[in-house]
Amino acid sequence: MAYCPECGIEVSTPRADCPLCGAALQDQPVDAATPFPVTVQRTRHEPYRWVDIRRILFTGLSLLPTLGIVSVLAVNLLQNGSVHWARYAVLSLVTGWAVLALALYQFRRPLKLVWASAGVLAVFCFLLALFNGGQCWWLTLALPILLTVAVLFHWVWRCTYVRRVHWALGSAVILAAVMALCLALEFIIALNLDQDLAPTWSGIVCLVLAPPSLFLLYVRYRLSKKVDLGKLFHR
Amino acid sequence: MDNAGKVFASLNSWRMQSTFRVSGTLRQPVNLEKLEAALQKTLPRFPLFRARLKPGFFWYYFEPSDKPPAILPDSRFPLGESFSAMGRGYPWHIRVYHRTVALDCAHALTDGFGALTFLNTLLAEYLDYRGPRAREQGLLDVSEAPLPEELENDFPRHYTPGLPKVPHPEPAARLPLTQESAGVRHVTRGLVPAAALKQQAKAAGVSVGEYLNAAYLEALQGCVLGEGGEALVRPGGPLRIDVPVNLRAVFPSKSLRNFFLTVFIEIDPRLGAWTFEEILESVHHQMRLKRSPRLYRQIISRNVGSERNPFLRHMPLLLKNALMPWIFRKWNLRWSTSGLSNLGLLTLPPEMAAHIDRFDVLPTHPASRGLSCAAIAFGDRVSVCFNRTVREPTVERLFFRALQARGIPVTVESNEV
Repeated sequence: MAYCPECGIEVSTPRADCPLCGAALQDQPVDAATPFPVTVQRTRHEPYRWVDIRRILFTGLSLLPTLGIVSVLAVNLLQNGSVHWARYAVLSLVTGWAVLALALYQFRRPLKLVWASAGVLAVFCFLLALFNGGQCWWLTLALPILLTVAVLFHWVWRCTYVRRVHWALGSAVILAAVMALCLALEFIIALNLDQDLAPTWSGIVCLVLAPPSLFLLYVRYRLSKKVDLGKLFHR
Repeated sequence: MDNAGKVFASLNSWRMQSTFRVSGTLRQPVNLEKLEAALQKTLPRFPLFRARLKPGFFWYYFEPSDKPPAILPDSRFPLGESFSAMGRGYPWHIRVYHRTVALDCAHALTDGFGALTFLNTLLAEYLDYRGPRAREQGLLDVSEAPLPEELENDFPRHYTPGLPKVPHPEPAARLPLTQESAGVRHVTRGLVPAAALKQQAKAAGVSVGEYLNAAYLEALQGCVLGEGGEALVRPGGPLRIDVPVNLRAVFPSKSLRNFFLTVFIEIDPRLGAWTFEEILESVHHQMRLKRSPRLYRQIISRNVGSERNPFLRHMPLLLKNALMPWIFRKWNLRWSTSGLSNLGLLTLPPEMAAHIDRFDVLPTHPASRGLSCAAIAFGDRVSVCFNRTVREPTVERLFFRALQARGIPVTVESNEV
């Protein structure tokens, strides 16, 4: 029987090195049977693998819009001999399909998902504006709103999830992002409609959200250092 | 289903695997046709093994089936599949390789004792053994009708409401080892002469089981602190192993279903490196301290009590399946670094034992834990099997080298090529 000079043990498996330390074995046997099979059988490790489920979902997700697109195109062509209104339905279906497919494949990478979805929606708005005679609202209204949402999400994600901050600080960051979004939305809309730029409804939202946000910051930086919150709330 | 089975049934993936293997290696190559005939004769005696595990709305349940069970060729990486992917819908199957007959079984169905009883009876039929059969030896007479007690769930009989809660231990230390890719399981088996092991244990004034537990804890300590005692990583808690206890030895029972619980044995490497003698002494006293039917009843009452919780009972199975691995990981796996199942000494009638070379056990092993160990003694040898889903064989190396250094000769087999 083979012998490992490092471990001092006998090895009955016919092999060149010790399975425990990798040292070369001495006194190799000439024809020993292997105690374990050499071949690996392919086995299903999980009853339903996520890859299979995703493939089924994607097939269903692709099939339904395809049927919808074919149907609306056929109806529009048969009724009017053109795709005058069907193009809007087709565009909406394709956009919906693209966003859902992105969510299906990229849900583990939320930042990528948000930026890609913002891109898809920007294209959607651009084509919609193009169908309506090349209006410029997509550049002055749609694109800034999409960019603001994506940037704020990116910021919140980086500040809270990636840095694994305290729950109170994370909640304060989220509230701050909601306030910033409301202010930005009202500003962009007012700029497009040539209205007064002073905040009105977004100001009210900020007044409502600012106190809890400040309270959360107080909890994070003052209260949590003095009091065991877990004990206080019987966590 | 019994209390342990309900938990194990919801752990059904390669990460949270809940299957184990008992195998017997014969002296002659296995004849497949003869084995199939023996299985047909054995099955009617074991109604538990003629049932398929089906998902209900709230729990899994057993459904009797007449389908012939599967006898499959063995694979290099055993226990690769979850129980729902096992042969023909049964939560068990037989695998054969050369001289070895292995029973891969879901813990939802039975424990080591139940599985060994089935395997022994199957081998007795295969070997045409017609002598007396004792239940204590794990041998049943296939001509007898199955007893209702064999199917009984014995946990509720020892449930006492209102007992004080079992205190939760602090999280155990983790091993600084690298996780293997999915489906890869390294099996390292060491064969040790029983007489030498017994002699060493006797000289130290402990039982063989205590000696193995101490040697395993010493190897785990070496893995965390380094062989020379220099801390490789700062241990995050005590090194704790869970040791299953067969409750049939404490409470009279004929059940073939799960009837075991685990107790924890630990040393704390944060207090410095322990010598083997210190570990032996500590393990010896801990094992004796925890061997009390009162403490067992307390643990059973906790387990059965949580099963009877109305919230848990009325939770749909879909949610249970989603939550149970998380709960198991959070509450159970965190408490122990690894596990050592010792099935003890298996004694068979001499006419039958003459045809069998040895028995082996491959323990249940959740992938997140790194490695588990199991031991069984048969004839003049003790088989110690490591089921590992991490790359480095550090613990096995330290374990077997230490045995060898103490004068216990070791022969090692491995499925690595």
